[in-house]
Order: sequence, then C-alpha cells, then structure tokens
Amino acid sequence: MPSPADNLEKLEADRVAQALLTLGEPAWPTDSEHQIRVIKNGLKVELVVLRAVLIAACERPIDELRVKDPQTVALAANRFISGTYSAKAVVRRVPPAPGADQSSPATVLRTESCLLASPGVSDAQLAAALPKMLEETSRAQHEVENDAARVADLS
Amino acid sequence: MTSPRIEQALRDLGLRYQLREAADDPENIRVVTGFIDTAISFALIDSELKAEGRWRGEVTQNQAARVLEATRQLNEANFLPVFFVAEGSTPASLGVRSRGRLPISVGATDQQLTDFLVFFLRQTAAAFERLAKLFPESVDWDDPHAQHESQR
Repeated sequence: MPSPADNLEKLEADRVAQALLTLGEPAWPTDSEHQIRVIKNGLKVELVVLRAVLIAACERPIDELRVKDPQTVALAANRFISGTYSAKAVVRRVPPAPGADQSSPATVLRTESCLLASPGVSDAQLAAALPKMLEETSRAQHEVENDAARVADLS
Repeated sequence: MTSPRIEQALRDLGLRYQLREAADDPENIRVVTGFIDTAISFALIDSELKAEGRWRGEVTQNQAARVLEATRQLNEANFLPVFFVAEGSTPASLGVRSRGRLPISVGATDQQLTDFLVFFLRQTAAAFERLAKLFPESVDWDDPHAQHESQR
C-alpha cells in the first residue's frame, strides 16, 4: 500500500491556504504571494513559503511585551529553545525601513516553526504539520514572555 | 520510519555511525554520527525524527553574553536548525547545541529523510565552523580542513 507521503507536491502559499481552510483555520492573503496570515491564540502568525520550506512565524515588538529588556527576553528565548524541539524563539533586530528613523531599529521577539518540504510534501503531511506549527509558534510567544517576566521579577 | 532507514541514509551519504541505547530507556535507540568538532544524534521520539548536534568547543561563563549573541545571530540567519547555549561539561563552562526535527506521523519518503539529514548536517557544520572562528581559544582539536585552507 502506498504511503501517504508518496504523493508529493511542490509547496505554494495557495496550497497552504487551502489546507488551512480544510482544517477550519481561515487564512488571509498578504502583500506577498508567498505569504498568508492566520490568527492563532490571539496572535498574528504569518505562513511563508520559501522554495522548499514552510515557515510559520510570529513577531511582536519587545516594547509590547511585559518585559522590555531585549537581553532578558533573549535569555528567556534561549531557555525556551533549550527545553524543546518545537518552535524557535529569537530576539531579532529589524532594520529600519527606508526613510524611517535610522537610529532606532525595531527589536522583536520572533517565534517560528518550520517544515522542510523537500523534495515536496503530501496533503496528509501538510494537514498533520500545519495545526502543530500554528499552535507551537503562537504558544512560544506566551511562554517566552512569561519566563522573561519571571526572570525580571527575580532580579 | 525506523532506525535502520536512518542508518541506510547515513551510509548512502558516506557517513559512519554508531547505535546507542538511551540510559533511561533501552528501547530508545539513538543513531550517533559526527565530525571532528561535532557530535550528532538522531532519535525517533513521539512521531518525530529528532536531531541534536553538540559543538565540541566550550566557552567560559564570562563569555556567556558573547556566545548567547553568537547563537542569536545564527538563529536570526537560519530557519533550521535551532541553536542554543547549554550547560558545558563543567559548572564553569558553556556549550552550544543545534536541534531540528522532521515530522513523521504520516511517514516520510527516503528523499525527504535524506534532504532533512543533509540540511541539518550541513547547517550545523557551517555554524560550528563559525563558532570556532569566533572562539578560537575553545578549539583544542586539529581540523584537517582548516589546515588545508591555511596552506592555500
């Protein structure tokens, strides 16, 4: 009997959107044809298709977190990823947009989960991976923020 | 997905490996491979193939901020694997590890498995090479590739 993974297709954002609809998770288009957006656990999660990789990513400015010190959040991010194989958490410095104030690049907490879809991915694999990726990515934001707050309270 | 499939994929890539039982769970077999500066293990746990790389170098506690920044930059630049700072072999040292996973709840083809292994191994090796350049005092091994490069 063929494995569900045998019927592989190249990944495109439209295909991810269709899979999400089937799973009851409506997705919104974005300015990019490679990217769609989902609201999960109260947070915006972007799903980006980059060649043979699907990335679910959520970013929040550090200024919007309960702890606004990037080093404390970076420590919490390291603690989080050292205890899991699920989402990645990283404090990321976003370069200023052209014409914006060059002196103050935004710093964000980025969480992401990725699926290597090489040489392709089956519908069954996509359906199994997507809910987990969305849940992990959004939940990681809350877990890192909560841990950073605990560290800040102790110091 | 089974351990023999991982073993076959590593053999096809020309890599040597060993099988090791987890100390607390003899049923849990890890496939272990690596390079001169890296120990890498693969294990099938909870419907996922989990990969972990361990850098051979270690840094002192007073370099914690620098190594944390180095792994932060690696995580900013790579989507897979994930890099993090971990406890070292002594209370005064810190290590660096990489992690990745391949979901296998509905199976994976041989080519998907190979692509994941190659990607994980390649990205981990490149990142640890970068760490060796950033923390040369942590390198206590002779890298034949580095010698080759320096002779050019």
